Amino acid sequence: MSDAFSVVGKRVPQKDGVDLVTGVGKFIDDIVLPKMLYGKILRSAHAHARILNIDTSKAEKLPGVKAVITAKDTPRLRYGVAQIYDEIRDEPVLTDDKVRFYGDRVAAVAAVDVDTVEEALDLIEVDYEVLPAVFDPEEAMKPGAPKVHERFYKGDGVHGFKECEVENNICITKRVLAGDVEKGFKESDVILEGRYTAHGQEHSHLETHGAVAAVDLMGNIKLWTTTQTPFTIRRDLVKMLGIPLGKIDVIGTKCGGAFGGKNEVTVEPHAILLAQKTGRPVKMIYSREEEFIASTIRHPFIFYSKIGVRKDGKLMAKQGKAILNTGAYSNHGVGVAYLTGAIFATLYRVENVNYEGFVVYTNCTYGGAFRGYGNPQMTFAIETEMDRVAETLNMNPVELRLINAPVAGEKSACGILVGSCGLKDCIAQAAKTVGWENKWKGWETR
Amino acid sequence: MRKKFEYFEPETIEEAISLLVKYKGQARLFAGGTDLLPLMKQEVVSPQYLVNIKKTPGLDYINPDNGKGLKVGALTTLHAIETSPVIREKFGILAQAASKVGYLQIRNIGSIAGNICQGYRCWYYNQSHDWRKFWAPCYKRGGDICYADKGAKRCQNMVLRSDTAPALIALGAKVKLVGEDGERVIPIKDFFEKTGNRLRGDEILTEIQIPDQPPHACGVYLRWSPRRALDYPVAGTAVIMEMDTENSLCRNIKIIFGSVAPVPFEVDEAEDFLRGKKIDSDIIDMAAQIVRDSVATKAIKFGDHSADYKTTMAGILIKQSIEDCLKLAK
Amino acid sequence: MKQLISLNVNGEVCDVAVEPNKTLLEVLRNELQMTGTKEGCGGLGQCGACTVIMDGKAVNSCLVLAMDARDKEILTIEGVATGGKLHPIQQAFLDHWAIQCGFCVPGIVLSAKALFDENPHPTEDEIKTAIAGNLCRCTGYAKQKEALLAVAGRQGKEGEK
Repeated sequence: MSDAFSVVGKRVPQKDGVDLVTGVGKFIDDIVLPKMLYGKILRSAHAHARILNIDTSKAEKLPGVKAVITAKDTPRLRYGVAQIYDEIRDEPVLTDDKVRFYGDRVAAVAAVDVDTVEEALDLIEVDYEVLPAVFDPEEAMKPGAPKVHERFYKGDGVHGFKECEVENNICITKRVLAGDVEKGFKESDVILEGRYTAHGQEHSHLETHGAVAAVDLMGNIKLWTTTQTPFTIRRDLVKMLGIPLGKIDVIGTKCGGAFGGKNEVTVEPHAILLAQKTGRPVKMIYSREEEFIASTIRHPFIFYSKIGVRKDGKLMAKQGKAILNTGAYSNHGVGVAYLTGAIFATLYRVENVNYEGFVVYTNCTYGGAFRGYGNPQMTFAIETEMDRVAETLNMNPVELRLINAPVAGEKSACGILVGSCGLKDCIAQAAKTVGWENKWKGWETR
Repeated sequence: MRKKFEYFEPETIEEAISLLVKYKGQARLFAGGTDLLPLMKQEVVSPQYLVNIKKTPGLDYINPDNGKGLKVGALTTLHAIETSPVIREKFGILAQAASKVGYLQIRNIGSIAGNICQGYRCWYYNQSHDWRKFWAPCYKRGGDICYADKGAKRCQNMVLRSDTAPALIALGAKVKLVGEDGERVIPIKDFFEKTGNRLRGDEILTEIQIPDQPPHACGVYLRWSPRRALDYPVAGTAVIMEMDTENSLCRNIKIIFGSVAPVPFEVDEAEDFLRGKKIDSDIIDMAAQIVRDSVATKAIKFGDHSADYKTTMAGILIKQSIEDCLKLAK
Repeated sequence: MKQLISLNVNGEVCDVAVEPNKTLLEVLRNELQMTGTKEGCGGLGQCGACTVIMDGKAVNSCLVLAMDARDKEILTIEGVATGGKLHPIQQAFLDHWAIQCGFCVPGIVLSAKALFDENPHPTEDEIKTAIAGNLCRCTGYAKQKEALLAVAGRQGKEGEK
């Protein structure tokens, strides 16, 4: 590489490497402020239940407890964390009507140490009216299934938000329609159908979620948090707490792993509310168990696929129905549904597409961003289908892919312009590296 | 951990025993702590009195026993056992078993007695305070249901997941238990019952006595777990084989399975089958089938691992163990 | 009731008042403000992020009661670099790009240091055994292994048992 560059093409020392390797780098639980309190969230005992009453009096009387908050101490708005095409606002800071998954947020406590907080959580008494719950998204879509959300708000910051009724627990449906799939199937020599499932997945970054909030006498908020996206957290906190943007400073501490799991709000609003109520900084750190119960996961995925292909290997039509189990709240469900549709329509090339992606509410832990964002689930389904097509046509699976791989300059069926694309080179190179030519002996020998 | 306790550092075994007697039922012995402390943090057990036996001298040793075998003190760490030259040479199966427990940091503080006396584990019992808060108590917690076996009329106690127990059983080891009425020595194979181990509330396991093994005996401990370290065993097998290498004949064999069923068990049928036979791959296959048939009647599901899965793994482990023993015998 | 105990951490003796139910990890992080040692699994001994060296041996500080850490020599990540210079293990981690988020690094450095202090030229298997109890969710361990093999003087000799 040319020596004209001082950074590009050079090995540059990791900027924070020395800090990290000597244990000096500050992660969220390393932040300590004078007179800092510790906070935790009281979580739902049930997957689906109406809250009839919350009695916090015993917890408030416990020595060392400085504040207990419930929904009445919050602005009682609904918020959403993802703003991709449609913004869905369905999440409360602390629930004011019902809990929608085991782990949903009921109350929050701040006290002088963690032991006292945990003691206080045990003293909060909640009267629940347990409701029937639904965990399977296909069951949730049937008429008569328990309703996870009755309504939510959809829109954007410019045009405003409209209240929408929820039918059959479907939060939103993302569609990709191009060409004429019926014609495509008629022109196909082979039509294959399949049903694919992919399970949920927890990020399990080694550092758990957490935040420290401090409020000064003028009401200015300083919030430290372990996050991938300090600016979206700031934007979201403005939305959910009604604070002016200029009053809140968000500082991302060293982030101990995220993989998409820290694209979201967890304890930030609660830490701020408790700091405002007590006048003292409040630190809230997720336990490892809370990571599994109450942080986002990769969307579990059910996919019905129908592919039509000509006997020379050209894909003629693709029809797909994706069901994303978004759990109790929509979070990044909209974006993931869109992306799975875009991938379906682009990989591999096809002119006739009919894709429906349903983002379905259930009483499960809710899905969010996880590295891949729908890609792993959809690509697994597509690549498996391609192998099945190749087998049915008795064609070399590498050859089938090379015939249908998109190239630079094309527009995919969903309207995406493929700017640059090394897929064909990649497939060819991979095949060469593993010695595919020598290894492939046809489908009969498998 | 949230709960507080009174803390003692007895300077003699007698003092330790008298504390166990005085605070009957409310005191726990604290050795390495790698089993007890997580249980206390999850509030599965919350002793009001903690008796730190590590400060009591005279419990950490590996000593030859007058030409009859070896005596190992209760507080000997698992790392000391896996690296001890005399154990590696003469009781290799124990060094192997100890080396597979957890990972190095655990083995550096975990004791052999702790590994033997560890609490039996149940998927529904060994959970956090928060998890258990929302479930009605099971039998072990004074309730009237077993979540692991819904039809059960009493606590099923689930599984002892010790690695060293099957190895020590195969070695024919004994354990010395010292209590307020004196001491007793019992074979370790009789130490484990389905309802728990036979340690009385006032007793402390102070020593493990391992007899010398026959001159041509080779021992192998293998275990299966999802990860190579960190995990408890899903199935563990301890095999000691005495070979007549000239004729490839199996003179004697001990086959013990651990973690598959509530307590380790011997597969007599497979031992009887193999004894006196010339060992070749067909014989090994047949022995594996006998093992699978036996394990299938005893294996119980734990978490994600079904009884069928454990049975399959048992068949694989026994084959590998016998083959490894044959290699060692040469 | 709190008891006053002396702890020898990184060569310095300090007095702290602790309840018997406090672990060494809690005392290091909260009383002594030494936050280099991390907690990753709720103190259940399942991740190794809390590894320190106690009397020459790598241990999980979340499973050591502070009371048990009296009269022991404790080394934390803060004491590894000395005289203003990084330890060879730390330098190797930087040179081999073995750090991503860095949360697991203090624990791995100490597990590795305990190994190298006893055995300056461990094999690949010995290195793997030494760090088997330290989870890393970012790197996949390959670069860390490479860094430690380099320290062991076995660079380019992977696969040696």
